[in-house]
Amino acid sequence: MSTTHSRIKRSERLSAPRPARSAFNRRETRAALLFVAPAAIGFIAFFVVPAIRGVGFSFTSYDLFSAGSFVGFDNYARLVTDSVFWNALWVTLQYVVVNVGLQTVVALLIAVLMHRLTKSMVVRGLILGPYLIASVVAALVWLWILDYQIGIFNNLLDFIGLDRQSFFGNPHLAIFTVALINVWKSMGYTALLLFAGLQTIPKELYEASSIDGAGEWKSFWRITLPLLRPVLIVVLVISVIGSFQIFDTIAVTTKGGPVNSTRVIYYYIYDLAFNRYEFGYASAMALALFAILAIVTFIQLRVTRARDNDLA
Amino acid sequence: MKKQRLIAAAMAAVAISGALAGCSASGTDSGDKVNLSYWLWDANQQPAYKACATAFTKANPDIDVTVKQFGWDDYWSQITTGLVSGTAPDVFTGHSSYFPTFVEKHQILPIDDVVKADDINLKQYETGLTAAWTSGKKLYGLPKDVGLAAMYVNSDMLEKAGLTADDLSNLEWNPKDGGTFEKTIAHLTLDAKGVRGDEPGFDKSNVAVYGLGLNGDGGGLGETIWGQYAESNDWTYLNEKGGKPHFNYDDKNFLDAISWFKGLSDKGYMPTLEQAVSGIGQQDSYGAGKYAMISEGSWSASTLFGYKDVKSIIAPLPIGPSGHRASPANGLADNVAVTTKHPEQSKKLVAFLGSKDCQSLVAKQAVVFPAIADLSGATKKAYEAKGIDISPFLETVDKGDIYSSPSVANWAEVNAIMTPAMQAYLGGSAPLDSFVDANKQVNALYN
Amino acid sequence: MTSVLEKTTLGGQTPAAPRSMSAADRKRRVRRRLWKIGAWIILGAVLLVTLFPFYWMLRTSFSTNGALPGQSTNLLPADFTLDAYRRVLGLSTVSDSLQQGGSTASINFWIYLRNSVVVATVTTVFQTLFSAMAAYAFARLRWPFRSAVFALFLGAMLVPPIFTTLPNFVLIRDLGLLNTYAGIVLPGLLMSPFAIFFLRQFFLGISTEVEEAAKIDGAGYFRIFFRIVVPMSWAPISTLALLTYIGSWNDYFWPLLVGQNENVRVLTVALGIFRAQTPNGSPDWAGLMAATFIAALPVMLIFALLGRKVINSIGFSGIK
Repeated sequence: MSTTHSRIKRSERLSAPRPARSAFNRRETRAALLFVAPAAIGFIAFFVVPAIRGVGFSFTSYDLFSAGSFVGFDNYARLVTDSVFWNALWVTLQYVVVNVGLQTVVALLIAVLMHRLTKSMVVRGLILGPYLIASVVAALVWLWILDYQIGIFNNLLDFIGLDRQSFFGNPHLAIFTVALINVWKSMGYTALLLFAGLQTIPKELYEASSIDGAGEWKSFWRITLPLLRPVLIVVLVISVIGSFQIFDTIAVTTKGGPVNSTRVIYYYIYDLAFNRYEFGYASAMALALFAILAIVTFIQLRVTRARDNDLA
Repeated sequence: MKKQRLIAAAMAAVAISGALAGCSASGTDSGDKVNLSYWLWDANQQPAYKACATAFTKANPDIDVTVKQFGWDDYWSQITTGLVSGTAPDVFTGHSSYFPTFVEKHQILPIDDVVKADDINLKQYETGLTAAWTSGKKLYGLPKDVGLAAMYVNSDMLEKAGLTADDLSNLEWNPKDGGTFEKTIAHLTLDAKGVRGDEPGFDKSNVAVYGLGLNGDGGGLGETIWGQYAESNDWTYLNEKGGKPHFNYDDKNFLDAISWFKGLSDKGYMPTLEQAVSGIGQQDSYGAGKYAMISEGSWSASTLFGYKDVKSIIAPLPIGPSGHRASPANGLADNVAVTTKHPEQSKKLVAFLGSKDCQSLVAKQAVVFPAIADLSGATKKAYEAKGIDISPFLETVDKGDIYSSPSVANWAEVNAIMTPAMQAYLGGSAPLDSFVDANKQVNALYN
Repeated sequence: MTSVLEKTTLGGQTPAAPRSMSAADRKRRVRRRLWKIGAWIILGAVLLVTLFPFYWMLRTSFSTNGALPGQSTNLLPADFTLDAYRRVLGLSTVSDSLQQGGSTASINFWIYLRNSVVVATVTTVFQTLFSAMAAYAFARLRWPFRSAVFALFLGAMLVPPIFTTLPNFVLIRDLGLLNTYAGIVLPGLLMSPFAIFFLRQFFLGISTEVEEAAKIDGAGYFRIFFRIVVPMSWAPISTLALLTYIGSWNDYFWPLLVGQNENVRVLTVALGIFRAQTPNGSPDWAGLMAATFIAALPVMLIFALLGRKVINSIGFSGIK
């Protein structure tokens, strides 16, 4: 079959009117450009151009109503002294650490449990449920459940004899409440990711270790975790980048309060641009966020590249 | 084949007629029907303004008005998006805190021309209201209503506490011991075991009924929340210093008032901020019998008197150390958006909405107090028909015990500083002197 | 544990060598069973935490607002009623609505539902189509700068959306497309870096024989793509379409900025506005829960029908 193939190909090559020495078939290139065109137009129009414009806005005092004047680096200078900005970074950091940390641990637990107990589609489907609904839906349901006065969860706390908590009104609790809501929402998805990773670990390893008398706990530490590392790393990197973009939950529950304790960076930028008409300043902040995320991702990849894939 | 051609012809006909219809429907001001959009945020006032819109169209058959309502939280972001995109409503209810910003950014149109043309008598409005809507000698809106504050009291609870309406008519408060006002609040507070706030054995950690409700932190304004106490303590939000506003949130009188106010929560007579901002608002809590008294605006009277299980009476605000009461007196007015395609008609609408014709319709609905002084009699009657005696409100106006809220550019920025500061203090996570620093930040905005 | 020990020692016998093996075995078996029971309990708890909020959403949506504070521990609806759904679907009069603790604004979730369907469908169809085309070009066609452009497209995934959102808002505003379907849909319509990446992986994995055969027969690239490659890759393409649909349905930030007007408002934005709309400050909880249920229902239905695909896709989309 293949020889016939190559023979035909050679003859084709001899008869086709191709320009000499070009590595690329012009017809193929043209087709490729047509294929890529819509995506490329989208990329340039809604990605590249806005990115450049965003940088441009950051040097002006644009306020959506009028063009605004060029202010040089004023917006960036203001960033440095803006305590709410640094607070926003701190709040975002708190959120990211709690959200990613807790989510990974819980998801790992669920994945391991499912791996050992059941591969049922029904269970997997149910676990995935919260991931499918919109963030605002999850936020509103939990806003209701955790309400200070008439939420069922606080009534439960009352019943057991613990103090009622104002989950959204207490500045010390608010951001963690937001983090927990998102853990609830995403733990199923992360668990399924890890679950798929667990499937790739050869069963023989577990069997061998159980013959050697190792308990569940030991085989988890010695086998599961190390072999799951590449998947964990991907999950971590994606979760961290995603967590930095938290907005929806806060927009429908706390709106940055109380006392700025949930004013994460995304919400602060939105508030500045659309409620306080400081579009130029908001653009500068968005650019700063971009820089910060790039650094964070870079550090993450560096740190994790040092570890090899143990399965290989 | 024939069928296809027929269908194609039919589609072409539809398309052409559609295009032609589109051409002629692009409204011009020359006698064709003009449709104006009008926005407001208070759902309670919507029926009244719908009635006004109908009356306006009757008087001006070539102008239709569509009335739309958006909740306060989203109203301003929608207005902004509208102004920015050119799709804002033609006329919208404005608020004094946004007014200076819109003027500065040239987003609303002055209406002096229609005031002159229609010979509108600006003196018919209560004193001080038109000034709030004037900037740079131009008038941007006609005052349409006056918002005042007073105490709403659960009359059953009052009786059970052995008090009468008369007892409430001359209460006084002061930052040191709260005066007769605090004593009354304490007496109306009941803990879970039925012990009153001023009786021994009162358990402040287990309160069933609070003597005074709380409606949130109030941000930089504290309208109906703490504004009335601060202002009756010989304090004012800001002074003009060299043409620039200078805020006074670091003033001793302000700090004393706020500190006393928070003390009410600490003593268990008023709920904590956490409780106040949770899932049941102040009004519903009052309606559920959790608060004996609340300080609220005149615009909420019909809602509050509408609760089935609570009978209310209205009492005046307490007299402060200044010797006077201090009720906010804020007038709303309608503004014309600069993006409107029908400026002439829009200004006509604003003139109508501020006129006696419309405002007497509003007065009949008994949801707000019209700004036209002559209508106070009619308003009183309309409210009486609903069982509400609004004399405490009107007396405050007559005595001049009123103050206007600050009207400065960049109010959103001031609020962005004061709201967290107030939340922190009332919530107990910041000390009283944190306001000194907050005030510095606020004043830095204007230097 | 102790019972096993008791069984072996209290019996009075000193177990012979084979018997002690089985005792240890039994110990292990019991321990394993305890672990299993414990594990099932934990998994059950996880499922409870996962599913309870959905039940609570339903329960509240069938309750009367006035009765909620008094019956806040009742696990069944408080004063069962369908009023909340009537309010939310625009079937209730204004005065009734106010009396039940709702708002006077005309709410009509049918319209918002329609808007969500339009936005999600248009986005999914075009985004999948154009991304598949681009992915094919990256995977199968050879052209200059192919890898550089691909790297560029991928780089777009790392940029935080807010950075391009603000200027995109200005662009949509300048085009006069604020508060239109076009404005909501446009930025995501033409491409998605993730979709291109996802499909390219699949196209790379398809055997080239069928394509080569078609090429020999003189088929053009477009015909090869649409008649051969797409049908062969229907599984990953439809999975991607499903994920895109769900993602677009749940989007909040962008539609919030550009689609506030009633005619184009999508469900997520409508929920945010609905929360703040009652005149007396407290949210219309029953109505809000009814609205969230309506917002979540379509996705749950799709998932119930096509869920297997989504679940199976989660394995390789994240790791490769």
